Amino acid sequence: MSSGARLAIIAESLRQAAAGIMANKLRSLLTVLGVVIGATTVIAMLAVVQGLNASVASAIREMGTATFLVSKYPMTRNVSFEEYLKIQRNPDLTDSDARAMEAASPWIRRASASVTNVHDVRAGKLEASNVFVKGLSSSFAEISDVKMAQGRLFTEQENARRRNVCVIGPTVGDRLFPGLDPVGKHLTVGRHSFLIVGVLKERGKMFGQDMDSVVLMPYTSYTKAFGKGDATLSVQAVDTERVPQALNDAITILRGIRRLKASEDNDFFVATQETLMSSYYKIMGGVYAVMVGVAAISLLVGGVGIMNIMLVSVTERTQEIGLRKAMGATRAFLVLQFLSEAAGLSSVGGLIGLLFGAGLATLVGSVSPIPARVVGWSVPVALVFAASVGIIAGLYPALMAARLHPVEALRRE
Amino acid sequence: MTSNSRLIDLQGIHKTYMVGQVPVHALRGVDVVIEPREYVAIMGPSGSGKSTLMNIIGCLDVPSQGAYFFEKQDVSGLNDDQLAAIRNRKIGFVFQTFNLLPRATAQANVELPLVYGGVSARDRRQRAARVLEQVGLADRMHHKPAELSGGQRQRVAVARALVTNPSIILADEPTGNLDTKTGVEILALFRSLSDDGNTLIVVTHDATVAAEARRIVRLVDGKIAEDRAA
Repeated sequence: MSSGARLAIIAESLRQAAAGIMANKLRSLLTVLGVVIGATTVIAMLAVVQGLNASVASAIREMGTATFLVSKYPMTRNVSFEEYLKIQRNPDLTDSDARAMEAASPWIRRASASVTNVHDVRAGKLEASNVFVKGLSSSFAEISDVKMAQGRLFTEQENARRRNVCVIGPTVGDRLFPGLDPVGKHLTVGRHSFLIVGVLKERGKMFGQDMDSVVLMPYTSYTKAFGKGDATLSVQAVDTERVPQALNDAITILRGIRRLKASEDNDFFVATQETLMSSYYKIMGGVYAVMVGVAAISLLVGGVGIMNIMLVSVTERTQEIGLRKAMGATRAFLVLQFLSEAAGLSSVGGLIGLLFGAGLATLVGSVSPIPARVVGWSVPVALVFAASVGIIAGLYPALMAARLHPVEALRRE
Repeated sequence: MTSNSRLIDLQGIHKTYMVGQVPVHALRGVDVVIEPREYVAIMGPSGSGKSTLMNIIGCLDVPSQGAYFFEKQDVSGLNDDQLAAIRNRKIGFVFQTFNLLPRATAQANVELPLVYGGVSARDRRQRAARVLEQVGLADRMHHKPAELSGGQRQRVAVARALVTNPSIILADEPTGNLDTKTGVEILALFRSLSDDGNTLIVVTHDATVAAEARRIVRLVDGKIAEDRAA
């Protein structure tokens, strides 16, 4: 079989597949539906997962490689209700813990506390609801790269004097002071009034959360107004290489403050950039497994659909197969013909799924907070996968066609 | 008749089919020699074994017993793909029902055997155009079968049989699906092919078709009952 002849047969078979699709659109669509769903799933889910990966990675990276977190509740795993009740009885973390770490460890450059709660924020008659109100030690700015668009961040002094000042995210500013400069104006959270001293730079959305719908204020001002609450400590080592030492010191210092005996476990949790990343990837592993499962099932269904239609095709075209044999088609030619037809059919399904998947990803990206974006390599992967499904599903019908006896095939009406 | 000129040499051919548990003896010892440039009609009532004989001559089937020499090569023991190669290069088929690919143009239909023969696209086009012209369809080359009359379709089929320049052209009831007038046209075409030096074997039960041939082989019950010049 010369390569020119092979090409001619493949081209003819692809034309045949295309003509079959055009002649019977509904039947063809139903045939490739499984492949369409499979490819759609793969493309859309990869887009979502990749989008999440990028935004999570950047969020965790923003923390800085030298920074780790200390918290009352574990950050890298879920807890059972019983465990939750037990942890709830542990003492809250406070800014004084952070001060103690800063003071006692040579490996810790800075430690700051942040307390967060959700409040409705008002100015005059206007209201911004569900705003993240955070109390921060002022040194937080240097750890987490808070960037100002206007005005300034609050100072150590304002923190020390528990001044009712705050910095707002642009969303809050737009909501409460449309068209106006919020700096120098007041807003109220609950019964408390705060002077706005600055507006943060826009940060966008992450996991559906508007990162700009925030009010930051000094930790002490927050606790004065809303009570102590449970703080998360951001601890920055002197450099990335010293994270282990700083981590060790932070744990020792906190255990000392809490007078834990050597036999007792920590009653708090620490998370480094690394552990946050690895727990995220563990979650994503589960998502991938679900995706692979959905794709595999729909491609299996798609394969069955294609095998079915190819069996119908072989039966319908028995006389044609007989003719081709009479004209000198070998078994290999007939296998090639029906395989390329099946692969052509399933590739069309893959292509439709590709378009649907990309559309779905775009839709998800625009109406939901999930930053979905179609990954370049998922396109050839989905198409090759779809074509392979066709080839595997077409194998049996193709062999059936190749094995037909020419006389019997020609006689069939 | 010297053995050197034997194009087809069938010796003691038997063909037995199993229909369920019952053996059916379609051919019971057929000896035929056909020389190049002959125009032979194989006749017989239905069930006489003439279709079976045509299938064996056309290398579509192999005999159960006996020897078949095609151009002095013993083809009775060849496998499927070897038989396919002989059909491709040596035999041109014309069927009662034309058997054209409905979605392909006349030209693409004629090119089909050349595709399997590994002929380049350019050569295929040229050779298809030449034989289509020969059968008088130069202006119908790009029409699909549905756009052609019955006679034109059969002429496309004849062109397809001719395009490989085969050793024999085998026609099975070539006028069976045509009206009388069109049938006569096809027979005239066969006559001119024969005059041009082609070897033709026509299987028919129609005496007027057989009368066109120069030799008639009559089969009855799987045996040759008569073999004479027409």
